[in-house]
Amino acid sequence: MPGPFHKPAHFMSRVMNLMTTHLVTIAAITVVASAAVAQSEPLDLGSAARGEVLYRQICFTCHGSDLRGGIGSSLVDSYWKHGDSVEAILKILETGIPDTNMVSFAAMFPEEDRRALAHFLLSKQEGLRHLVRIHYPPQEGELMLEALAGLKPKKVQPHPENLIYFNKNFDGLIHLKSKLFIQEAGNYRFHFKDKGKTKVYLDGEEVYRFHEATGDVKDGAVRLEPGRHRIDILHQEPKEWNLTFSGHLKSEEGREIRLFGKSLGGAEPKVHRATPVARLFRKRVSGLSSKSLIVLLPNSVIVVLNSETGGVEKAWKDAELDQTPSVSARSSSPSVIHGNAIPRSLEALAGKGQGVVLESTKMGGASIAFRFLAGSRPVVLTVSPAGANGYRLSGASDFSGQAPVLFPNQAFASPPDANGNFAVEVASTNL
Amino acid sequence: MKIFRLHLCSFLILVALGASSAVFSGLPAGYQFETVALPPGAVTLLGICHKDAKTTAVTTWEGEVWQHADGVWTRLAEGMMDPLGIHYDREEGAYYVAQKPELTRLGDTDGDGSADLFETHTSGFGYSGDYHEYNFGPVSDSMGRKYAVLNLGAEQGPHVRGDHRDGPAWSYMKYSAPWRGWVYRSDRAGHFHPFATGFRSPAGIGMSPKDELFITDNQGDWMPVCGMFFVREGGFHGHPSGLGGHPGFGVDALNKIRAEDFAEDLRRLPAIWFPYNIISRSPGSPVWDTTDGKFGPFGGQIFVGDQSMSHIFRCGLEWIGEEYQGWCINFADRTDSGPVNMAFDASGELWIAQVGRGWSSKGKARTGLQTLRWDGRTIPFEIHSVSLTPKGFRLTFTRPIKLGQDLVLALPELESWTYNYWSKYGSDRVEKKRHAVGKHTLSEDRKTLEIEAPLVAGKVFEITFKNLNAEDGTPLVNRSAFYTVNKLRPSKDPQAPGNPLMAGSSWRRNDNRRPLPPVVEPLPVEKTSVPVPEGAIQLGPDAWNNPKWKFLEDGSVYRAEGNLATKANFGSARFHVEFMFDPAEDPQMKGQLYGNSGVWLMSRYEIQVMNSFRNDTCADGQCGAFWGQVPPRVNASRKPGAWQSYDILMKAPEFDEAGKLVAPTRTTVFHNGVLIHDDESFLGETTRPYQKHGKGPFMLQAHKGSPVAFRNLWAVKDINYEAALPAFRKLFGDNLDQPISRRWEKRSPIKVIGADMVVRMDVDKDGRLTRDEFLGFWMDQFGPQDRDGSGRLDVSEFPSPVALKGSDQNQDGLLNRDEYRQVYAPQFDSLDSDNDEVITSRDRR
Repeated sequence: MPGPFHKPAHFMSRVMNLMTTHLVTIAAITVVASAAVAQSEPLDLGSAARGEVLYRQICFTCHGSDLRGGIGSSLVDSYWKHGDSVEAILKILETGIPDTNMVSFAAMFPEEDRRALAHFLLSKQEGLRHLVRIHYPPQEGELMLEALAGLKPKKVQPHPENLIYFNKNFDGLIHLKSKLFIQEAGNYRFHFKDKGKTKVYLDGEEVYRFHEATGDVKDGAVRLEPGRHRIDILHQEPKEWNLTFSGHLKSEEGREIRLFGKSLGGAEPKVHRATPVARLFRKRVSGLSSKSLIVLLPNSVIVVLNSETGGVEKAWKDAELDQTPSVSARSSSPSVIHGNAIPRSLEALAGKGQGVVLESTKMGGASIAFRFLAGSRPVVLTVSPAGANGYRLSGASDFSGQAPVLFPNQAFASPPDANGNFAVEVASTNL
Repeated sequence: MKIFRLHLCSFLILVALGASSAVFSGLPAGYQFETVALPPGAVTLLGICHKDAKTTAVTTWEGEVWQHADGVWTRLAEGMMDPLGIHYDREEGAYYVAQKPELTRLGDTDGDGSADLFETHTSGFGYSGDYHEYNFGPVSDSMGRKYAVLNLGAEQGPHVRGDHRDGPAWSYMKYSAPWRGWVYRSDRAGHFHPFATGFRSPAGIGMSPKDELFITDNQGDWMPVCGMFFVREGGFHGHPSGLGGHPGFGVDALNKIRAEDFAEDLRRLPAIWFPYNIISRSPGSPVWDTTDGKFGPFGGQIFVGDQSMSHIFRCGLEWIGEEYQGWCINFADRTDSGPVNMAFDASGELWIAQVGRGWSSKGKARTGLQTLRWDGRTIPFEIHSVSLTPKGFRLTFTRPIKLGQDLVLALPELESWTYNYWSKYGSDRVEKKRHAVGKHTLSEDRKTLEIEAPLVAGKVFEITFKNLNAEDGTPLVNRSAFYTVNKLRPSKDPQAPGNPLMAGSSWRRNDNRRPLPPVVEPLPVEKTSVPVPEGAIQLGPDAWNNPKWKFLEDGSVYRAEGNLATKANFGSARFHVEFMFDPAEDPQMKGQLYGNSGVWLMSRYEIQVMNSFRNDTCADGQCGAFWGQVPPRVNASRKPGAWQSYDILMKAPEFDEAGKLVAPTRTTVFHNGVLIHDDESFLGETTRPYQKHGKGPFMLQAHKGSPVAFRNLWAVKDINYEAALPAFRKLFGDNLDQPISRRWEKRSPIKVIGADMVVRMDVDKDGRLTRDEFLGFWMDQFGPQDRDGSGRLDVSEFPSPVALKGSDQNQDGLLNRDEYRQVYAPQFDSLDSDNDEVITSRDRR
């Protein structure tokens, strides 16, 4: 039996629920209206060409010549924190973003140029933009786009940031209405979670169908031309406490285009990329030891050290660490490292049977120095970038007979001297 | 449209009501929440602490540490793994952050406001990568030692199912890696010290102003509801999976032990149960109101936030029967998100770090940071505190209560219940009873109401005022108080013992209830002789200053009158000591009298020397203990008559010029080749707190008791403790743990046999009698009874003619050994009422 002080609260919340239902209806009506307005202006390719010239003059310094970010955020990933319409981009160029390095460019670029930049950015997009999520009550039978016209939506929610979030115990039909940006012509295939029923229409034509109960399946093979396509994704599955729904598009060559991300009540995805200083991350990553040390070097090389051996567990070039592959999963999903594997070098700081213990980590500009006790003797192991795609490990110690152990096919850049100093390098040349 | 307007109207009315009426506000009058803007970028707050009067630090689930001063956030660190808590050590000027794999000390060596040095303060526990392996904390005691507590794993590992054998695997939390389920302590040097166990998902940890450790835990298997535990060193607090790390149990035992093995004898009850969904569903860390009245009229009370219920409640404690127990009352509802950690700042505001992740929280925001402030004037009408009286409860209100026609109308309703202790997930209230309030009296100032109630120990009592107003008509909003009556208050409070609870461990000196260390096999004698290192000083007859201790020809010396001190002085040093107790025939020579002496380091710090082989005494008084302070990890004693050894490595304490302690002693000790103190500190001198001193003589203690001899004493002066420790710890090999020969020792007494008989029968002193022990004892009596040595007992030799006749199978009027055994075997069966082949406290007549 609940204590009496809860009764007013219960009563209040019931009343509030009643009220909320009405307020939501009003809100929904407003949102439908604004979603209609939010249709972005059509892309002007001539303007985009002019925008590219401007981009290569100024913007690339922060956002990278490939638009994938650097000091500034990536401008071609699927996450658009401040909105993905021409209007939203124009607003940022005009006012800047408070508390960041993104200043207003209103003084530098006249409006026509700002518009050209926005068109350029949008011309480079790939995947879903201008995403609107519409909820309907659950529907029996086959999902049909036409049938939705006669239904009253329970909720209409634009997702300019391209992340969707479902309330707990979500139960209903989801309609994701969006634009699909394609850069390269080719054969592609849609992939979605195999649960319940899903249907995808591209420019009004059905291209993908999955129905768990009937087994009726149409695989999502499709020929796509560059440009923008209208896409409608319909999905429904049994009530879920924590519904997750995701999809991606895969090209014949295996290139993957993420369609939309998941979010927990607006939490941001966190993808860590190289900066001018080396960064250290302690995160769970599948396939790495639980206490691993993830070093992200300024040259976009990630070196993962095992804190209990001092050796390299794995290494990648062109790498980034995605800390939130699934932010909604209570942080229980491991982080993911993207990149191209490069060779491991040091297997361990000491031979088998010699315990290695991490004592401290010192951040120092482009490199990070780890102090280990290897079999009770201190070793300072410094991880630094080597060339454009490599890394260097150098040890300073008094090994007194305990040599560091290398992986096969690796050689010391500088073999251990009498004081136990050594270096091993995986450089761009031998990749 | 008409309907809509109607609702809009009622909404406005309710808004108006909500604003004016405390009933709906859920916030005591005079208190105000204020939302603090979060650091830039979406973050999820977990830990919070105050560095100084203007600087606050928070940790985020994403792995960042932020500092907030003058309204500006700066990022101190990134990339940490689920940093669940943060503590600022003012003495060291450094933050400590609990990451999942380690407790980390942050340093900013270039002073640019961003941490560039991450020191692994301690990582002596296991982390397998299981999501639930949280590391909650740290908090600090007044000696600067840090405490943090390790969540059990959920995925894989040994666990205890008790009677609920067929439950789904997910419902049991597991011993997934070393020391999961334990709270640990690390000293300033970062040494990992497992402190106490029995925790499940202990998301809250707090240190009282008196250096007492409290932990809140979450409902689940073996945790009927959430509650707050008063934690004592070596204690077991209910969830058995952590016993996998206990030297008296171990991982292998986990799948075999039964609930009874620990339930009755070991389990410490929470000081306060938090009624589920009323007070708490996911409690966070407790904080003590030490604001000196700046936070209102609840000084000294404990505030706890609840993550899923998204509110804050108050607790108070009373010291009854040498334990804490107390009450809880709701305080402030509707935080933005779910409170996990809180901290009072210097101005008396309570900062509340909140998160809506994990379990979904009632507070809708994904995360939040709020302050709760008192206006300095308004006294809200609340139940201020509850006290258990010998016959009922004393309730104190913050303001005088209003008397209508009759006090009876204002009396509360009373209900009591308890919970099941089992491996099932949570427990309902059981043995629920409603009670009538008996006699009642109201104080003259109408602020204290005493009621009589039919008290029963082991019950939670709910005291609810259905209809109570303050003098000015203000209704009581938080109308229920919950008191956990673990023990009844005696009619006369016993005189408080003179010796206080020891800082951190929360035991009194020589506390008989402190669990005895498990008994292990010492190393064989031949393995415990160690080579005398170069430079060692032999402490032969000439090294000492007391001629009353006579050295014998074989180099040994018996304890004699007056202490025996070396002529030389020692600071940080290594010692080797061998000692032997003469087997004592005199039955008076037991307990502390059996071979008592002591090894006094620098003449100030005693390591106890006495016979602890089948001769129990208090844990911190037994052989190998830092006397009166720290029991040995294990009892590795040899039999009296056998020579034993101590190998001691000691670092002298450090003091500053003003005489203030800078670093306590550090001492590592092997007893008979078994590690009994692992880089442990003396809490002070044996008989008084630390006082500045220089080097001092090494001393052997004079003490009354049966004879004890010493031999082969040597020392190495001026040791560099830090440098010598790694090799010293391997003095007897890599394996520091010896097999357990006796399980946990403190057990409830056997009730079916007299205590004096149990002592005589219980050969392995484990508090249980096996069939072999029971019959072995009686068979040993056969010889002495058989006075004529005939191998048969006649009526003159055997005391009970009836029993003799009953077992005399060959009817020769005599009892041979087999027949004699038949007298006692059925006795064992009848005493062993639960037929588990061992007589324990559970057996009943």
